[in-house]
Amino acid sequence: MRSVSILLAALALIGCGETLDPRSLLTEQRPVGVISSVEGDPTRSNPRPGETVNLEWVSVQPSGEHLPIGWAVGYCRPAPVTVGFAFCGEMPFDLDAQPEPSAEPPRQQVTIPADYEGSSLLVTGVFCLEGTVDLLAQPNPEDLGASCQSGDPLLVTYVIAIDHDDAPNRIPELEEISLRGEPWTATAPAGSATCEGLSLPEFRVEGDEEEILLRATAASRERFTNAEGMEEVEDLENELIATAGSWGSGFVFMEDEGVLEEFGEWTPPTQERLNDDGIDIGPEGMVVRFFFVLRDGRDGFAITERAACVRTP
Amino acid sequence: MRNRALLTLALLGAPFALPAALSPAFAQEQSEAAEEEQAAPVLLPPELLEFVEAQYPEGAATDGQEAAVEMAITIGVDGSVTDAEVLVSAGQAFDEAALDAVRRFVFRPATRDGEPIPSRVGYRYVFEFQEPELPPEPEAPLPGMLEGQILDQGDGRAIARATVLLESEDGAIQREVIADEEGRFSFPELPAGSYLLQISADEMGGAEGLEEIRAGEATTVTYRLAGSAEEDEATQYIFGATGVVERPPREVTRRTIGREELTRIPGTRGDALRAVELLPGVARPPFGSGNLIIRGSSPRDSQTFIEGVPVPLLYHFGGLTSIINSRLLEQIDFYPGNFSARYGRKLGGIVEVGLRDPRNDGIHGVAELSAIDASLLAEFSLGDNLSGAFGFRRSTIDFVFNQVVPDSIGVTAAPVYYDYQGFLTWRPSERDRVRFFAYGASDRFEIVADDALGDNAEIRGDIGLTTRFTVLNLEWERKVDADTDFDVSLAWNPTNLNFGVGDFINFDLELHQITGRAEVRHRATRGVRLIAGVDLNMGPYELNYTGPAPRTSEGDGVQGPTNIEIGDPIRESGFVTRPAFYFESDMQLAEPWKVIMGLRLDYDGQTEEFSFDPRLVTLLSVTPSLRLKAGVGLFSQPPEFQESSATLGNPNLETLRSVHTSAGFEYDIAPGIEVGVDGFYKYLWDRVIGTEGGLAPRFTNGGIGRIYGAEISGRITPIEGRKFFGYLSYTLMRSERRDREGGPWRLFDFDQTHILTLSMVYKLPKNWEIGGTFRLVSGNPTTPISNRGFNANNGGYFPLNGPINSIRNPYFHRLDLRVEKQWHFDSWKLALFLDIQNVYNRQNQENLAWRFDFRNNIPISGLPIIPAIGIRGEL
Repeated sequence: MRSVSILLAALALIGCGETLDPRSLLTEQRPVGVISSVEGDPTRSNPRPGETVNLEWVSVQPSGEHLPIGWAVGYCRPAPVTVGFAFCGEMPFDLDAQPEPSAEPPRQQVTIPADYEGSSLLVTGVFCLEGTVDLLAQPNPEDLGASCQSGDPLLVTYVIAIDHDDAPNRIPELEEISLRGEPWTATAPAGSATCEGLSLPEFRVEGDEEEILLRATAASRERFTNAEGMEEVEDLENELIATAGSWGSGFVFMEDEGVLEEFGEWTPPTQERLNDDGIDIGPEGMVVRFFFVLRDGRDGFAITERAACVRTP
Repeated sequence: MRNRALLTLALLGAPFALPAALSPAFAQEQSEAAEEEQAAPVLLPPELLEFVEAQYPEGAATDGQEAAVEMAITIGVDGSVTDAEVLVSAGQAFDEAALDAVRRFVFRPATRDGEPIPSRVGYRYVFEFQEPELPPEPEAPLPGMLEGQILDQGDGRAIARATVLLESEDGAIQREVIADEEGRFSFPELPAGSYLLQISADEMGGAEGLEEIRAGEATTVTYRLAGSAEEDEATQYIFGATGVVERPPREVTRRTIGREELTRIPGTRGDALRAVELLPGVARPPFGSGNLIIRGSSPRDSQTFIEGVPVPLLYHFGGLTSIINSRLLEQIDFYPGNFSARYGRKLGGIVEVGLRDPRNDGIHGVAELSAIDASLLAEFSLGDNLSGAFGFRRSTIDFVFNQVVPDSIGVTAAPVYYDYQGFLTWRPSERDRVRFFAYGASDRFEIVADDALGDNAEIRGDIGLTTRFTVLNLEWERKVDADTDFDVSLAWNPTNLNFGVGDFINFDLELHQITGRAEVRHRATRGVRLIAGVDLNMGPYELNYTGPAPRTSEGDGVQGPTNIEIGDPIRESGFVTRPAFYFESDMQLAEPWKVIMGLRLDYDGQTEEFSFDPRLVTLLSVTPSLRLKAGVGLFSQPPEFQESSATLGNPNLETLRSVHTSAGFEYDIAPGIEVGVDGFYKYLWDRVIGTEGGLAPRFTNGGIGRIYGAEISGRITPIEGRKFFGYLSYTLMRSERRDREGGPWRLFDFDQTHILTLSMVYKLPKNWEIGGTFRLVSGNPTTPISNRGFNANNGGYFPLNGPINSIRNPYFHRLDLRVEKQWHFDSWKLALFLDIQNVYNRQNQENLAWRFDFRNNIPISGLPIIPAIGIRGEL
């Protein structure tokens, strides 16, 4: 019956007039994932016991300018939960913190203990967007004893799978992004709001839907042995984000055998939506930033940014 | 001041058509009438069916004036008064009062060779002043009434001139009447109590039965005689009494919706089972859930039975329409708590749906079409002792659904449902009745979404829901002798439930439930009745499941879509074994005092546990119109399947327990008008709760609960001569749970402090009927989000809950209206109805929809205004 409720609630949402901004529309800075790369072998995402792994928390911003974040994270063996979010099953064995806000993305370097027997390691803590972290003297497994003294708080979790079987996972990569049959490489400098002086693909307000081709490298879809001992090929999830306009779907998937290409469908913003948002596009046009987030479902993460210009007709 | 109008009716002449008198059509009719004169047409005058009392002019009443107004009334072919004019005036005030009353009269139209025709009659309205009647003595007990009809069991025709004897249990009252030409008889002004009714009808034999008369109520019975005076058995009671003869009470509180009211309550679209939601103690289910939430109990703690068989699904698609045609129902009994030992395995309440026998007087049918669904029902006789019925309904909403849902969502099979019923009743002898019921339902819904649906990458692919079940139920009732009867039934119920979301969730349950029941009732002495029964529930099941670990059914707070892990596929099969034995003694300790003791022993094969539930109910008639009642008892319920499953849950769980206590009174204000107050307290223990983070053993019996409140009910029943009926119910309640030992009490997910329902149906002249239902209910509790989290593995967000259920949705209120117009023809009826739900389009907040990052939200509202027009034909 709960399932029925979910289904009907979903239908209710589909049908209702008032809507919430979708995940594919970027209106404020937010994290989207972690680039995990093993020290000395940056194409590999999962460390072995005794190895050091570099973590970079990636955020996307409408302006391209990274807002400062204060943060604190700890490293621990996760509790064996089956529902709810991940939390420490025991006291963290190490902590990292940047209590004062910094415009640099949160980065950590953690060495997996050589005798670590767990199948995964949890990195969890608190991010304070444009705020300062308040660290208690005694950490605890629930919240590490860290909270935001100021700013916008966000609990963060990231579970790293530990490679005990010498079965490395390579970080996936987008080989090409094409628009209107041409490779699309243009980006906009951080802080650029208008198209003045930039060479960007052009779109019109109220314009038609455009197809954007995404092509992954052949190495991005690796073969691996799953938890049931069966061999399978990774599925790639492409999350599509833009600072304006709308996507046909916020995700496209490369999951059929041998498929390395997929299309994202993006429609430029309508004048009505621009009016609602109080945006007046001048003659110099408006920069729209696009982010293509690639995940392989096994901690492999990559992000590619592009930019285009939207002008009024 | 009272006044009374006397009336006389005189035909001015042969009926004639007034409105069309000047039209060519009328000329044509006149011509035809002239031609038919030679064939000596049979003309029958109109007959007054509904008299309306005129308002006595105010000044005239004060002065004690009397008067008579003579009028000419024109009556249309539908029996309504189309025109009225004063021929002999009695003064303006009297004339206006008389005209106003007469225009609201309803007649059976005049007929020519059986065809209704317009007519004009003279009418003399006499205003006769009478001294006001003194109010009745306040202490005088309200009399009851017994009325009935005697019919031939074979062809259903009336048996005239039968002798009907009535004797009170103590022999103090003895009366005898002769039934009229239509087999009808009546015993007015009866004190409340038990009476022996004996019928004797010469060659048609006789019958007898014990009838309960309640103060202020008219009990209506139907007796069917077999017509075989040669056999002694024919003089015994046979199964002819209709369901309005209530079963003896075995519970503190039983609320019954009779057949007359079942399909006429506004806001239900004529669906009888939806009317249950309006009764005291029943919380308003959230939109789309179809849950039955009784006295603060979890929906899974209550059960609906159809003729003693538990049904897996009561409503199509979470409350849209119930799964059985309402016109096949005899009545619905609702037990909000302290129910009989006949029922078990549930901690909440019971809804028992009684099915009626198909009519055996020819062929009858009902067809109905609305924007939601279409249905057909047929009843037929297959000989003297055998009658049958079948029904079918299919949704029509899917034909318009695609117009509503955006193209971007590929809906290939928007909700499609159907249900079917086939009944047979066989009376092999006067003592036996054998009934066979076959019914079932199917619901199917599917969305095809190649891309992710919304902001959750995991939810993609087909989203589908399928529910299918069939019940085959064979039931035999036998009257062994005057003091003993028994019934036995056996049902087979194959059920398939399937729910899937792409590769993310797949739930597929195949269940073959076998339900058996045998009950013997014996009147040991004049004041003691004993009941013993066996209640069996068993059958194999097979489950295939892929998806996140099951959670507790409520009290979970706001759930994030991305914080769940998909476990390994699970395949489980087994056999459910749940036998039970029960015993009840119904003792009249003294004339006004009755005590019912019940014992029930249950065994659950899954937990391998016995539970023993003693129950006690006592009823005291303080006066014939005032009854006190109280009850206390233990109730048990096995854990849900997924909770005690070895693969999904904890096989070591124990039976859930509860104690019910309740007390109250019922008071008959006037015939057919009753008020009641019930107070209740329930305590729950060994409630199943989930472990933190779903850690093994996933579920434990560590929860407790307490529920307490009061229900006030008022009811006006549609007795003969009353043009309206209605309900008023108000429930004040609090339902709380504690999920950890020493933890805080929290509100139950569907705790609704105030539940007010007012429902009224009024029958207007000319076969119009209008009704309305208004509900005002506290908003359901919800859980605030205190913070939010980010899962970097999948880029999703999850909520961090504040205190569970510590805030509430705004009040819910809604008005539903129903208007129906009927046209009566010789052998069939046509009805057109308009059922408007949420007339003033109130945007009732049912929940909150959160943005993907749980930063913002918008309210999810329930149903907007929904007008549904339908048409129905009855044969």
